[in-house]
Amino acid sequence: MRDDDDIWFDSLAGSTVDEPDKASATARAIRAAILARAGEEPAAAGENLRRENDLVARARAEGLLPAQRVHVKRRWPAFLAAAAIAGLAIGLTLHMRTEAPAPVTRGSPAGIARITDKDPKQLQQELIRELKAAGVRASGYESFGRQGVDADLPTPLPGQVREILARHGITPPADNVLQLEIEPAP
Amino acid sequence: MEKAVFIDACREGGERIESALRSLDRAYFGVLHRDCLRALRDADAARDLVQETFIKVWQRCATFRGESELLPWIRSICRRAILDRLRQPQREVPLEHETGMTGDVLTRVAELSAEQVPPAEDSLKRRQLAECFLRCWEKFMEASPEHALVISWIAEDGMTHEQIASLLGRTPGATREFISQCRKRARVYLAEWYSLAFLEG
Repeated sequence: MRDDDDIWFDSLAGSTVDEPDKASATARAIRAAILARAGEEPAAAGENLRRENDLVARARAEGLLPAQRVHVKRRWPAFLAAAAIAGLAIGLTLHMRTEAPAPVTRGSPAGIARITDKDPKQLQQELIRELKAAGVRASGYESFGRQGVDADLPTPLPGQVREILARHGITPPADNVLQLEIEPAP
Repeated sequence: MEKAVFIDACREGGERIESALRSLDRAYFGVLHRDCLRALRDADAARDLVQETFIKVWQRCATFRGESELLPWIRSICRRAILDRLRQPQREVPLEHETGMTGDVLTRVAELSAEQVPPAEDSLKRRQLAECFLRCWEKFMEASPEHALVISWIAEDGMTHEQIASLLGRTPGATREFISQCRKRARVYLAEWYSLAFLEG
């Protein structure tokens, strides 16, 4: 036996139509109003990357997803620190070079001899030319604004070569491998 | 979202869940958010509850057998979550103390309810009715959200007694009593709308 509540429920659910009963009439009216209201409500946008990312992050936090892999990346702070150290080293080196008394030639711990001149480029070319003329394989380069000369000197050192080096104030290297840098005179 | 894709992702787990979660969000966020917003009346809380629902969906994905469509299954999880959320702070107002409606008014409402629903004669009348309904419904939701929501779910989805019993976690007898309460409360909170709809028709 159906009571008023059953009739009301069935009408609200839309499972009975046009039942001539007061309970049915009110339920059908409520149903119509609810369905009309539902049709007018806008649904939220379907796709939203930020929202999705929040959801994925939450799923990870809940342990639903495996922990995100950590990608090894170049870390800028470390990189900058290394660059700063390198810059400091270069700066100190330059500082030491500019303070070197010209035109004294001296060996450095790295084996590079340094001299100064008002025109390093011209002196570089002149040295290379003279050494080649003496039968020495010599080449030039430029590094950080300094002109350099590399040369493999013969052993024993020929007098002509010794004379070229002496003329330019260059001490002959102990191992006969000449590494020379010419800095501009202050 | 395809059921098969969902079931496969659930079975395989791992990173496949991420893409499946994204698919779920794209496919169902809108409809679930509307349900939650209607119940909670707070967009952020509704958004949070939808996400909570998606998490629960994946925690329970192994229980989805594929006999039904995906959305009704997800929606049932969402609705349980809504009810749980509504039950946290006790917002419901006891029927005896709610509107101060007199017995005479209730009697009149009952009389009005005996009338057939009149067809709205013009657009102005329809709009007035719709606005009145929304106003009354707001009050209903405010005072008795669980009852109002169940009424709207019955109307929208044609839920059965068994489904409501499952949703509410009640016995069939207790569910019948709950539905009877729904009807009584609707009569109280929709009284103004009833009078407009039935009396002036």
